[in-house]
Amino acid sequence: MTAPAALEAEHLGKRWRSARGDVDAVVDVTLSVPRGAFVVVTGPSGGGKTTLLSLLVALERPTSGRVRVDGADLAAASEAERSRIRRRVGFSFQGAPQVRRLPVWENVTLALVPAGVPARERRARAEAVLARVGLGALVDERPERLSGGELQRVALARALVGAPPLLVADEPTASLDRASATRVLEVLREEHARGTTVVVATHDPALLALATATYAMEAGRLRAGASAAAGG
Amino acid sequence: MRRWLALGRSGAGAVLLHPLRSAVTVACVVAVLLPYLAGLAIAHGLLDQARDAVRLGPDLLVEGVRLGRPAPVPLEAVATVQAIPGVRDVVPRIVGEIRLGRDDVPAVLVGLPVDHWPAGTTLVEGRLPAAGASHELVVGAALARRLALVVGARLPPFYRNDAGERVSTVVGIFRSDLPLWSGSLVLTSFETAATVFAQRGLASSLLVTVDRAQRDDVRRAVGRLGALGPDDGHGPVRARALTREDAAVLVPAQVLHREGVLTLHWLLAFAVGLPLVLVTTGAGLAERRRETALLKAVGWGTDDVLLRAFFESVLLACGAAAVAVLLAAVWLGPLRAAGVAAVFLPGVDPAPVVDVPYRLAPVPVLLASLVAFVLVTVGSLASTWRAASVPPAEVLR
Repeated sequence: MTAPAALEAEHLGKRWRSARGDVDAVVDVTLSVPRGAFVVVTGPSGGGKTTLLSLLVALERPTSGRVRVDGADLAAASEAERSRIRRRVGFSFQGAPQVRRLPVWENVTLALVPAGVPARERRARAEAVLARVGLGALVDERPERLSGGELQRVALARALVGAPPLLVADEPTASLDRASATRVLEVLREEHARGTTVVVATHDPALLALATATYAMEAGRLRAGASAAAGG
Repeated sequence: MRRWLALGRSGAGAVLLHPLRSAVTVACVVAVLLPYLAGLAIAHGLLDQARDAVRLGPDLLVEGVRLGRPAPVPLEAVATVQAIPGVRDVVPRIVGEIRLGRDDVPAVLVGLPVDHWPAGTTLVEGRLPAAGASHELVVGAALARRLALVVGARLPPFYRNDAGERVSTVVGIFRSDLPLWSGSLVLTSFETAATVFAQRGLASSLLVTVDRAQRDDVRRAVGRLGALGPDDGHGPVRARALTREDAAVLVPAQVLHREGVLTLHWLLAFAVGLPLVLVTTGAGLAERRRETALLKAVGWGTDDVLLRAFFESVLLACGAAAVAVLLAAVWLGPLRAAGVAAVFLPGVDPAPVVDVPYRLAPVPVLLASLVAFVLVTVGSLASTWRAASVPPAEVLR
């Protein structure tokens, strides 16, 4: 018996209601991400990449279709099960939202709190993962004092801190200078080499070199192969 | 257990994460609790004093009743009551209200025979009125402070009746910190009080000491007495005897009634306070919604988020209750229950010059803490649950 794919989507659709009428952000997307794959989704801004990733990690409910994470059907899952599934997925948000008044290390380890991980251990894990993304000196800093690029790396550190089997990152290098972006690429490469399944939405052509599969997303539709917008 | 501890710590941290929201919530809860705590504390203080007064008072209090209404007791009744078997002592007493000074400060003048001065009267300065001397007064320390009276001070006439008017002399000042009524009390001889109130041959009541075993017999005998003294044409005065138990039932009734009225008002305040706290716990809601969405996005369950909000509420409620108790103690002590004392003590100034009795009893304090908890928890959990019910991406977008 073969193990289920790390991530599967079947005829996935998401329709937004807006003042201009209904907008189809994701249209009939079918996707299977095998364990250990490195999938890169490219495409122009507003093409539906962020919405697709939100649907894949149970942050959003689809209008149609279904998603399976490690074989678990999100549509059939209860709210508690969806939370458990989210805990097995490291998700790096575009825009890198933080709790403003919490120090960086606490922001990074938020996911570990309900698991009852002691504060000392959480801090140690935060220090290790922040060092990996080049923010070892900012452990006790407040997010409001960080630059956009630093916040982006804090978000990646938060996605990595629980050592999840599935890592999903939305534009992880978007706000970074070349040196920082290279470091992030290295981290993603290391994670993939460790066996982590990685799904990334990006405009950055440098990430394509790491991909085992590429997709292009345009006007809500997904097709195999990188888009021209990725520059590659 | 470790999960609970971690969520508890996170909830405690949340109090500081939203300082404005926490401060507003505590302030709202304190505003609801404080008057209630202060009022109940005064009610309990008054009850304690009333019970003490009853306990230390006479075995029987004999009052006059004419046509069903209170009337002065003719002094002939002293001998009549003294003659009842089982009676050990009968002391006539005159009580009435006077007004002193330029500001007409209200005071209670009590006249007693000089050889029957109340036990426990502690003089700060001076002496008691001398036998045979007239218009010598002993005033409470608080009243003396307010009217700037010292031993030897002469009070201009504060009454006028058929016997004319006379200057009085302060011969002593007694300690009046504890019993509330002593704060505005003036003690004098029975004869002086009779002159002031033009009550020659009359007393307000008789304080009767009896053999304990015969108390009920004496009470029945007093009830069987015919007219007390000669009929003055207004109808006969009959005797009514009150035991300590009667007094204990009657005295607190008024206090308890006012406590009930206060509780009613407080329930009204609670009804207003609940939506108020619901609104204030929504203060900073946008940031809170974003925070909740982030927690959900990284894998927190709705129960985790609610549990964190619960711990946060417990801390806020405990803080609010502690602040309310502390402020109540300051309000009742150094500030002498300014504003609330008059609710329980008709005639007392809005800013009393005497110490108001109070007791912060554990039950109302615990009840107040519970109410604070309910107020904060309902408000907090409702807003958190609303935030947790929205898909995280919708808020974080």
